[in-house]
Amino acid sequence: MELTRRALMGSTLALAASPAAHAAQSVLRIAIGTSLATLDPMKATIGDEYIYDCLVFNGLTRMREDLTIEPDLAESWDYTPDLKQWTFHLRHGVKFHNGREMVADDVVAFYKRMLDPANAAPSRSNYEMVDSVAASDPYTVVFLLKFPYGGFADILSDRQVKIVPRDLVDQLTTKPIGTGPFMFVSYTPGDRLVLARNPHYYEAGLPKVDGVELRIIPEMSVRIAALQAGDLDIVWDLPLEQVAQLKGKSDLRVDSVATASWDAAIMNNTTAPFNDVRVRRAFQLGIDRRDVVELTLFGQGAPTISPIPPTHPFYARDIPVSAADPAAARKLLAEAGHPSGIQVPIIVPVGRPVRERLGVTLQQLAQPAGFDLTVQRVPFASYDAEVSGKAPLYIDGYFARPTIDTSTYPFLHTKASWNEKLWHYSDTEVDKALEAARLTGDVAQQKTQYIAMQHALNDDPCGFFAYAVNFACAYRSAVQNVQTHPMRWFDLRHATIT
Amino acid sequence: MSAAALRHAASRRLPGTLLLGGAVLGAIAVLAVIGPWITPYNPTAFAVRFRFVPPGAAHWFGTDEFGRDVLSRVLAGAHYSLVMGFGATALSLAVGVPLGLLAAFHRGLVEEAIMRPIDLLISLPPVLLGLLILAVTPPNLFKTVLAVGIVYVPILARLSRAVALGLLEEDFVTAARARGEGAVSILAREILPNAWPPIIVESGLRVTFAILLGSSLSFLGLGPQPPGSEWGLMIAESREFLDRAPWIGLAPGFSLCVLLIAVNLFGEGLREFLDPRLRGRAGG
Repeated sequence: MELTRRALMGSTLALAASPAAHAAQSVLRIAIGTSLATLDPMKATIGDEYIYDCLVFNGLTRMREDLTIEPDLAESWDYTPDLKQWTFHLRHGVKFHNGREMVADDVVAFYKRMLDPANAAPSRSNYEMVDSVAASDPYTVVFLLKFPYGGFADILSDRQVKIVPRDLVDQLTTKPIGTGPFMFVSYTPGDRLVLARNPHYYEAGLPKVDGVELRIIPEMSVRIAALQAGDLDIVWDLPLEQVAQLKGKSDLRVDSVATASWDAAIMNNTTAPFNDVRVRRAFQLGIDRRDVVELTLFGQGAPTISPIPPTHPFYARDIPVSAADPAAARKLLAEAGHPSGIQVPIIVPVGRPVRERLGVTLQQLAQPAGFDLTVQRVPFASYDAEVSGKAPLYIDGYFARPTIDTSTYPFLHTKASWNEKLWHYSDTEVDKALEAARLTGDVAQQKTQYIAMQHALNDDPCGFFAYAVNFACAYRSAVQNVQTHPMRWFDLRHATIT
Repeated sequence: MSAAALRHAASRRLPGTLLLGGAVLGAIAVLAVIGPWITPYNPTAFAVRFRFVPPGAAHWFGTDEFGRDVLSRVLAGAHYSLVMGFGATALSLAVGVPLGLLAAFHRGLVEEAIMRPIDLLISLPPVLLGLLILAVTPPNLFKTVLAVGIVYVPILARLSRAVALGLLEEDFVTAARARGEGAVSILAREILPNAWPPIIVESGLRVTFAILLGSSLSFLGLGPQPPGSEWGLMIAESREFLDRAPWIGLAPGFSLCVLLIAVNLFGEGLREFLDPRLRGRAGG
């Protein structure tokens, strides 16, 4: 017995010593929640995979934490005044992890592969404006667009459009090779993904740490305990209710940043009762979004009226976030032919705790306004088949996208792809503003159009945009020079462990 | 076991486990019925400034992530578990016993037609079977009762068939056959009155499993829906806050525990009371 106890104490000591050993090798240990389903960045669909994509690969452009765009593999770019021809000038001497130089043919091969419907790339619809892509010399790539598109360089920074060697596409899922600051070493699903420093990275002296490990730990409480014990360096995607809780700890740094990711109560605009704009407006009138942010997000977010977040310069600041007016809401409902209120089910996704909480919050807050909502929990996996675009009222949400056009047009334009899977919304003024904003390269003009769009949307709501949600990470204090990225990935080139 | 043995048993002292289990179960049943009227707070009302209040004088079981009083929610949700446990058992009794008796009486084709599908159902894990039944339609309390009831039909069918097979060999059954009584009459008037003690005992134990299975299904999202406060659902919703507000999940978990132990004691006591083989120990 005594022996066992001593052995146990010994092993505890060994465990306690291991963080120090890690620090000596300077490997950043990041906790994520889910195993990566694919190592091919083009096929990535979840946040956990995007982290890996942005560490091992580069895009033509890069989005910084302040959402501005900077050169990455493309050193510079120019476009014709009609915004239909975009020329990207590649950086010279960038090497893939196997030592071969990255050239324009690799870029062209990637975009051709991504745009080929046979490859079913999840992000293909974001690039529907591309008519052709070609290499005019080994360091120049020319995109011809079907219609003018002002934000084209911005969307080339997105998480799925990363350049891979054209001759090694077959081994992407087993031995992926990129140009990024870190090289793939090994991946064990359910356990960890190991990356090592790329010594030949094109920015000399970077990255600063020797490696990165993505540890797959499904239970959040285990992740937080491991971080506090020093067995992890970063906990990615911290639950928002933990932010205030962990902020007090001296050995941790908790970062909660505003993002353009949003959740909403999706209303079906083609079936009763939400086919009547008065009913949709009554719902909006009857609920104070600030209460929703407090109850659902514990204050870690901001009310919004469209996918444009309040932190963005295009946000319509002249539309007030007003207190709930249940009397006015009931009056509108009565005008719409529901004098005694409306009874309707609201579907919430099981396994998305924040969205489940949003459903319960709305169920309670909408009562005084005359909405009697019955909550139905449906597994998120069945959403596509049973709920999306079909149910009269349900909770769903979307991650931030790189430009305001890609965050609004696909969701709100009458003929857009996501609109059909959500609310089947159609408003001529919203359509007009979205089209006009897309066709101009002038920022002031875009701003005018997007503000007009928000006003039209506020008068004729497609559903109930609840909030733009914050994104939070927790870091050990020893981890420095890492910023929390609103797009939920990491730029670890400058990261250090002290 | 016969009717005579039962009458004899009735004259014996009641086992302690039966009394204790019965008393706790009775108390919980009373709370479940009057629960909605005696909750100190509205069980679904939010209180933004009182979120995550630990247990104390104002909130005996604390408050949850919306500031709702956990004690009120536990009280308001008590009836779900009882309805699921007893409702599902009643359902499996109502379906399983007649099936079992029929299978025992009509050996051959009818028996095969009844028992083989039942064997198939037994081979499926209960939670999986419940999931299969519930996942295809929007869930509610009634459907959970139905699903749990169906899951336990095979067990009661097999038990009643086994008991009836023994009884069919008895002389009084042969006499009834000689009198020319039909199948329904023999099963209802001769077999059932003599077969029910072991069935009752089994049902008592089934209630425990039914409550547990019902709560497991709610935990998985296939039972009563929020803001209802079914205990399994409360535990599921509390998981995120386990490290900072453990009382949100502990309160319904502990209540479920007490209820299950009470039902189990009650069932065990019933078995002691009715089983002649235990007569020496229980009767004294």
